[in-house]
Parts: sequence; structure tokens; C-alpha cells
Amino acid sequence: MSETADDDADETLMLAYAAGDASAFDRLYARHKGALYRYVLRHCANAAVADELFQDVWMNVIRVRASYLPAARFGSWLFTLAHNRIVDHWRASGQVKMVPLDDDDETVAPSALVSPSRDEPDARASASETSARLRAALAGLPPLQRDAFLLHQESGLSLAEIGHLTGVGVETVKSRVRYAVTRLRAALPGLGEHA
Amino acid sequence: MTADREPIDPALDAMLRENPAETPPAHVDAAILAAAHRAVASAPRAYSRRHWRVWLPLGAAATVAAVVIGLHPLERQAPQSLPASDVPVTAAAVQSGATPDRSNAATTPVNPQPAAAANAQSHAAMSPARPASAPVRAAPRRDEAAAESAAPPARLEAPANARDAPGAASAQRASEAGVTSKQASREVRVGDAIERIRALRRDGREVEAAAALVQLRETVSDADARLPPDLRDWASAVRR
Repeated sequence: MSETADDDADETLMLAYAAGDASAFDRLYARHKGALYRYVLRHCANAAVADELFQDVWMNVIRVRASYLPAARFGSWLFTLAHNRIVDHWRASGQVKMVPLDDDDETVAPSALVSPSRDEPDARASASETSARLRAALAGLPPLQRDAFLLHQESGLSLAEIGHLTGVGVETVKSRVRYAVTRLRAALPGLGEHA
Repeated sequence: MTADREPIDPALDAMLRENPAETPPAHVDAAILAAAHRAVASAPRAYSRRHWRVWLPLGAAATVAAVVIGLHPLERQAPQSLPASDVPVTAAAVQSGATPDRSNAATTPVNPQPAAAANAQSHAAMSPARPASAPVRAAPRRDEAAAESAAPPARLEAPANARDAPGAASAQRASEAGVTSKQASREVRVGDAIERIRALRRDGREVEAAAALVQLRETVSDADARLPPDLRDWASAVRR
């Protein structure tokens, strides 16, 4: 039974899924899987780990469907789940020591966070050199800057929503994104050729 | 696109956009979609659950109202004087044409069935007998007493001279007890819900525990305040 149209809002689809309409989930998944996967993958720089975390996020969506309330945009809720899952992954892997929110503090060595994918079979088989360069450059960012940049890039959320999701103010989000862009441009020579 | 969403760096944005094949593998897609379909196929429909949440309180309120209304007539059944027409008559009285006598009401047989036959014959022109399942009224008339064979005996006795003060008081006590017991049962249900939440958390079923808390919040306005200390911290993090 499907009473939702293709142009239904995400929140409508999620509520329909919670009410038992599996096809609503199919549409929701198709809309958001790409952006969410890129967000997770570019955090992990390891496809196998990214697949696992990506799947965990959606399993969480499925599990809590009954208690879903459209108090905020679905996208904001979805990326909040993803962000939290990634933070949990960092904690569990011991790769991150929690630091104060003023993340310009460089005490966390970026290279310790996400190992570049140079030695990963996925990277060697990667269809795109650009992709490998990009992932390496992202891996070199401090995690909070990378997170702010990827949320801005992939989630479709406003800076205010990203700030709410990550627990910081809008100006901090802007600062993190700007800093990330500066470092990425420095790490990606020839970037201007893609403009 | 608002200024908030404009690409900060067009060149970098273009590089990110052109990046191919950053999509989940097919086996991951399949696993997620299969899990999503299994979850709703095996769960009871939320449609019925939501409607249950809506209709159960209404049903309970209607039941309480029916009980109160049903008990209320017992309070007014002080038979100071019943109209003659309301006094059940015996078959003998009908045959003899005797006028219904209130003084005989106390000895009027409780069982309305003999009177039913007489009444049905002699009062066929009057309003039709109601089915046995019809709701009981405060002062059943002769023509209705026949049909209300399921009515409690006390209602049909209606002794003319007996003052039903004890009955009225007991009815009132029953009503009050009903309200008190309703409150008590409600407290028990809240307690049960809290224990269920605690048990779910103990078993690591956090999502179900959160769903149970949400449901409790919908039932009780001060649900969080009723939680024991060991659950309050967790509850504060549960999405409302």
C-alpha cells in the first residue's frame, strides 16, 4: 500500500515508512544514499569501513522509525545519525582524543585519524586518480574541519543546521569550512583546472 | 540556492561533483533495503497502534461515563412514590382488572416474566417492548419491564415503601470507589511501563526502551518526573 507520491517530502516518506509502507523507505533511501555514502566514505577513506558505517546508519533509521517525529528536517536527522556514528567510530578505534571545540588546536595529529588510502586495495583499484587525491587531501584535514566541510558539501543543510548538529555556532562552522577549503586547495595542486 | 548553500570554492566543488563511483555497493543497497522491508513486514502496523492510542482513552472515558450514568439512577431510586403505571402488575391483577396498588408493590414478584406475558397481551397497543439488551432506565414502565428481563432484580423491585437510602449510598460509594480504583489502576500502569523501560534497557534494547518512553510521555504528561533517578538522565537524552 503506497499513498505517497514521488515528490512527497522526506518527512512524509519517513512517517509513511514508520506506518508500514516499505516503498516509502525505498524512495527515501534512493534520495539520500549517495550524499550520505559520500559523507561517510570521505570521512573514512576506507571503503570497507565506510560500507559498514553507512549500513549502521540506515539500520539505525530502520530501528527507530516508530519513534521518529518530524521536529526537524529528515536530512538533518539523518546526517545527525551519521555524524554520531562516525564519532562513535573514532572513539571506538581510539584514533581520536576528544579535544575542546575550538578545533584549530592542532594537538590532534590529522595523520593519526584516518590513514590515507594509498595502501588500500580500494585506492589502487580506484577508477579515478582525482578521487584518490581528494580522499588523501580530506584525510589530511583535522576531523572537525573535515566534518564541517563534508556536511556543508553533501548534506544540503544550512550552516545553522550544521552548527546545531555539531553543537557549535554558525561562525564556528563557517570558520571550519573556510579553513578546510584553504587546506584542500593547498593539498590539491591544479585545482583551478576543474573550475 | 541561498548564500548559505553556495559553494565556497567552485573549483573544489566541481572536483567533488565529478568524482565517479562514490555510491554504495550493490550488496550494501540490497542488505539495507531487505532489512527495511523485513522490519515493517514483521512489525504490527503502526496505523493500528496509533489509532489504538487515540481510541483507547476515548473508549475508557465512554466506559466510565456509562458506568456513572448507569449507577446514577440507583441514587434516585428512593421510591417515595411511584406512579401507579410504573408498578409492575401481576397476571392476576390484569385479569381481575384491578388497579395497580402501590402497597402491593413490595410483594410484586421480582421475576418480570409472568407479568411480561400479561403486559404483552393487555398493552399491545402501547409502545413496543424493547429488546432484552436495551439499556436499563431509572423507572421502567410496565410495558418495558417485560422486555428488560435482563435487568437486575433490584431495579424491578422498586418497593414503594422501602427507602433506598442504603442503595443510594452504596451506589455513591461504588462510584467513588470506581474513580479511586481507576486512579490506582492508572498508577499501576505507569509503574509497569517504567519497569518495562528499565528491563528493556537492561537487555540492551535501547531503541525499544526509547519508544516505550515516548509512548509513556503521550499517556502521562509528567512521565519524566515519575521516572526513577536511574532512568532520568537517560530519558533526558531521548528525543521527544
